[in-house]
Amino acid sequence: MMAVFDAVEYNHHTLLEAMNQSPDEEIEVLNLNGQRYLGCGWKNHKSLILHGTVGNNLGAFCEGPTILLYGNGQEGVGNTMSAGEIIVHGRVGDIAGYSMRGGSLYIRDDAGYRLGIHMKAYQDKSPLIVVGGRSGAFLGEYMAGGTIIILGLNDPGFSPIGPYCGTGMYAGEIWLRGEVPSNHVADNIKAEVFQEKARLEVIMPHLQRFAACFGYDMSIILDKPFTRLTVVDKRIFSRLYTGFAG
Amino acid sequence: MLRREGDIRIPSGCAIAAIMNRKGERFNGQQILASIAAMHQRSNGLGGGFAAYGIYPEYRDYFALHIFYDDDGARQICERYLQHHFRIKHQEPVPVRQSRRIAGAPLIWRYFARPREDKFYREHIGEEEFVARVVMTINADLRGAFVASSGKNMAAFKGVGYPEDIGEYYRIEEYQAYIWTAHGRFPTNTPGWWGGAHPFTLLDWSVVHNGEISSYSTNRRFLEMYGYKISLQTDTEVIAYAFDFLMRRQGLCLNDVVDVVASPFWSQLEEEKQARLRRKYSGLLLNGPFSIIVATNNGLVALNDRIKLRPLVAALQDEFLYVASEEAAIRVVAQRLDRVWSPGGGEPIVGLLHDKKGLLDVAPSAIQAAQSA
Repeated sequence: MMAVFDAVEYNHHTLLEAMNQSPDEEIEVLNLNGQRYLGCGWKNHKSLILHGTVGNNLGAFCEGPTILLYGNGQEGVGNTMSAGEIIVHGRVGDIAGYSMRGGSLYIRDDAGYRLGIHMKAYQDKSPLIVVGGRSGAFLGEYMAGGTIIILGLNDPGFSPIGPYCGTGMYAGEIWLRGEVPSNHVADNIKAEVFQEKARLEVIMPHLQRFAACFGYDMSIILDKPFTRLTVVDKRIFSRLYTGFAG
Repeated sequence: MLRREGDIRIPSGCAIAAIMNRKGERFNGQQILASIAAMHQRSNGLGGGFAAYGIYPEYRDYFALHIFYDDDGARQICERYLQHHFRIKHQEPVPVRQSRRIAGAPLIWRYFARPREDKFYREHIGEEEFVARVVMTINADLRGAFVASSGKNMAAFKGVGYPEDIGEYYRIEEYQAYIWTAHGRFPTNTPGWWGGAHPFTLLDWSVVHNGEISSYSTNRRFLEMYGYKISLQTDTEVIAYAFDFLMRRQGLCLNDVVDVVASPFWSQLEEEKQARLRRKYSGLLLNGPFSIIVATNNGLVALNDRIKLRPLVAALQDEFLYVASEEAAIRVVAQRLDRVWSPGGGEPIVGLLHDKKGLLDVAPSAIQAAQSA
């Protein structure tokens, strides 16, 4: 069964209450504008279809639901989520995927500052973010695990990332379509450019999923080499206070 | 007695918004009211306010002084002081709509006035500098009186309450302006008082601010060297004076001002000129998280701190420029947008009226006056 809510008929509080109490497996919400905490803390496998501009912390702490957003997200999309899938047909604001520890986040257009800050992986959990546009500065700041892929498909003339990418990062992988300005990447990061498609094996399913979500042709996504950013030294602060080489 | 803010910290959580018609066509305050109301959750009812430009065309050549008074005694003392320094064309109480949600309001009066020429000629300063000094003297030295705004053809309407209630109280839907800015406040460890609400103003400048200026003490000491009286003990105050100092008194263009207040880090400085500005005006670097909207009669600039620790979204639709802390606050008044984007840290969004070159089109006489000051 599918439930449909028109956000105009509710205030922020009653809308969340109605959505959280709905027994239906599929929930569609129309005319959203600025409502925070949608799907927040959901531990289920429901499907949430949202239309409009959603407020901060979409799907925060969620564990399992599939969230489809037709519109833009604001700050904190997928904050600390640990399972499930969020697909945004639009752009998102700052700190999307903040402390994400599992599940996946697909964003069609641009992401703001500090995408994937503090992302981490544990045992079988490994979070994933794929962005079709560009990301702001401090991408993957303090990143401790998982995978971020930035495709830069919309503005070919511009760098897909801003400055200070990977600052304080000590695990995980960032993949960028094309080559990146080295002054945007933190000192501790190693950049490897892969020309052959065979080297993209690990991210190929994610690229295919992205293409399927937003109707992209794989040949466009693969028309440039990819750059993989990984950390050189996992203990970046080991020499900072102790004076001993890590 | 109005409670004065006792502490310099204004922690964040606020909302800011602006709507501007770049052709200078005026529209009433309903849209900005709806925009800031959409971010109700970002405020806590301890401060709200609006700045409006173009609202007093019949008095466009007069300084519009909006003044808060604790009581009638303070009003009488302040008016004697004003009459000594100004020729007052017209004065009246600012019309308000009484509301149960607004309490503890001061007496609010407005004066359309010109400085007495013999006064500022004698001091060899321009009339703007003269007005700025009078405003600072009232705020610092006249007990129970506070100048909420002092520019031409503009005003700040602010107080303690949620911004939508403050807007209703001041009847802002009855004013026509081509630039509106708004603020919803969330102070957590300083008292909310009417003068401490945003916008903060001086002459034509107004500032609404979300965040915290951790360089406040440094900025304050720098500005005090140039005669600014920092009497309100709130961090936002120094932003208004920094723009006034750099643009009106130093004659810097907007890009240079942005390089001073939100300078890139040394490692990212690309031009020698940026480095020179950074050295010369190091005391005006605004550090800490902020998003601000600074407006004048010529336009507005919206700006984030250099590493963007606060949200800010801009949008364009035909002649309208929208800026807000959240995209939802723009969508609520404009469903069809030509472009929506978030600027990077230290990357200004500038909205200028079609016929203006900069935020401050300084007349030659004003430059001379500034140089001799």
